[in-house]
Amino acid sequence: MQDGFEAAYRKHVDAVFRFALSCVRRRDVAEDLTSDAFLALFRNFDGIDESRLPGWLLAVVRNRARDRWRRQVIEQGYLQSLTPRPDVVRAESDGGLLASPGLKAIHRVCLRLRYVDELSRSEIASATGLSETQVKGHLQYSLRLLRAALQGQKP
Amino acid sequence: MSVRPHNLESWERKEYGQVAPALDELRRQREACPPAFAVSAAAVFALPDDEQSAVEAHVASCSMCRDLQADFERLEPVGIPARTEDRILEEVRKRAATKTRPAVFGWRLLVPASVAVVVLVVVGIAGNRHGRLPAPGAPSLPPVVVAAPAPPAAPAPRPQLDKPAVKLSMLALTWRGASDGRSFATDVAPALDAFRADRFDEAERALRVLAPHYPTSVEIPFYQGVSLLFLDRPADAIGPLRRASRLADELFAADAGWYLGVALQRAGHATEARTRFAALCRGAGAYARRACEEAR
Repeated sequence: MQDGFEAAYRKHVDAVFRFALSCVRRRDVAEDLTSDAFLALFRNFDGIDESRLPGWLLAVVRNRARDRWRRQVIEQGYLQSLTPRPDVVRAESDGGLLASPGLKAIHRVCLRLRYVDELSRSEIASATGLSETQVKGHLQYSLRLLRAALQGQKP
Repeated sequence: MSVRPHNLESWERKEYGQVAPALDELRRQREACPPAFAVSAAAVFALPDDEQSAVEAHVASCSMCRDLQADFERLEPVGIPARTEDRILEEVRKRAATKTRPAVFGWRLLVPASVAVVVLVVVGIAGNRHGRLPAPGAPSLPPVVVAAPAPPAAPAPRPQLDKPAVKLSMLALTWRGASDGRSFATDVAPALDAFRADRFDEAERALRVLAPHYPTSVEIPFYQGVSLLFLDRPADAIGPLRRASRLADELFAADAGWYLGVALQRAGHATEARTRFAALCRGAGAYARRACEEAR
């Protein structure tokens, strides 16, 4: 069982971790969720058909992530911040600034996390899997590009 | 809601300043948007039902949040570093082994023997008149491995408040954070003296003053939180005990979890308290039995 479990772990851990990161956007919590999922697999390994993997593991991660959200909602009043306020919801926004040509997905994500969600550089690194240095590089490039775009110049 | 200048790093001030009006406008437009991590979670249906519905409804009407979901999807796949992969596998095996060991062995099995010998040191602070601690391993202070408090035989109607033993990690004993060479142990000694003598008000004040100087110490928020519990201020104890839980190593993990549960329960946060107790109940730690009773 040990060998089989380790083989399954090595095969699926990347996908499970990536999925966990999508669920929580925090590297440390994603690692905990990954650990939880494989612990559940370890305990049920003999009764699980391996063809159900990694879907079974992703379901565990999703459920744990939901549990964590529920706790956070209770703890921090997140429910209020999650519920869009009808009077300020825009039916369809132009996304103008972030639609600037030259910005790639990673730049838009970094800009949004930094200047809309106001995350720190280390939090953005944790959310995206980048290093803090990479985040700094992407933000520098993005700000320069935005400045140039606003001034009608090339960066 | 804005990235205030003091939150900006020095390298980004100049660049940010030139595009500040546009970014401020973007932020103003996005005040109604859920946090980015909720938008990401919703894309993989990882939110509880109510929140999932609320965020989905928002995303349906907000092109920027739809773009964000798409952008997250487009990011380069994040691999898990080999070291982390091995560490998680090891952790899974340890956790699995812990659960299947007979409960009679209790908490000791959670701590590797090598760690126990080095780290589990009871510090005789009160017995030291000058408040200075001998160097780790000095003959006058032999390390003493201590058992965590024994679980009580009978369940209490609300978690009974027992005073935890004063202990410091070896890391804390040897930690020299201040430039004048004062050690953490020397600085914290008067506060822990007061704690041991049941002068909780004095202990709490002293620990509160020390907290900013030792932000990664688990001992300071832990004993501050427990002092607040003894002062019958459970709501105030929650913050320090949450911090202690986040910082806790194996030596403090169960203690921090238990006292946080007690604080939450006494402050009226019964749902979260039960969650905390349930987590302790699943382990084989010193508080497992009491936690199981409280989690019911």
